[in-house]
Amino acid sequence: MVRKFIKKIFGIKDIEDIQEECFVEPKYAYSLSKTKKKAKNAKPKT
Amino acid sequence: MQAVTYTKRKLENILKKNFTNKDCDFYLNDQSYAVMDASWIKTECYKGYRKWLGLAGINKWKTNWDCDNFAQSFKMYVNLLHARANPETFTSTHKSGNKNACDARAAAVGVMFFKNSDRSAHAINVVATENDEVLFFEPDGGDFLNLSDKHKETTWYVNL
Repeated sequence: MVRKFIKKIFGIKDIEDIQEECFVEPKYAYSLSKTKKKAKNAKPKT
Repeated sequence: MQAVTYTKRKLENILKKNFTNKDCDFYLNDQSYAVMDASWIKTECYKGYRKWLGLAGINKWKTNWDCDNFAQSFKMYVNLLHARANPETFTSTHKSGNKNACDARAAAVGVMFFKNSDRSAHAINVVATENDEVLFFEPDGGDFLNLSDKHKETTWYVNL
């Protein structure tokens, strides 16, 4: 808590902050049509 | 929902449909490729890339940091994010049961070189989409480009 407070007051960035800024979470493409196709082709449970 | 992935062969076929130059060399070095969200490439990803370059003190084009450097580093940056977000290996998954969000071997973002005039050439990024198409991304500016047929025909190198 104290560390966070000091960092905020003085605008200090540590390696984790820099990593978070530079290395964003990747976002993948998702195919809705494939999901639908799968659902369409799925056999009903008996 | 699962991320869209392409095998090396499928991606090569998609690329060959777009680049008709018979002398174009295609270098695909991985077995499978994850398709990235195109709007994410242009926004969040590009912002992070420029911050990452900024750490090295590189903020603009210069003779020793030109189009091929932008294109190659952007390709590497996206792959770096992919590897960072999917840390599990075959062995670690077997041991812990933890799974990656996407097990593709690489991100479907590559580098391409083409002639933009009789005496000059340019390097940009090629980005595969979930619709079996490709987009062209200018990494020195962060915009998708409408590449003319002439430019596509003069492409001589594509590497993913």
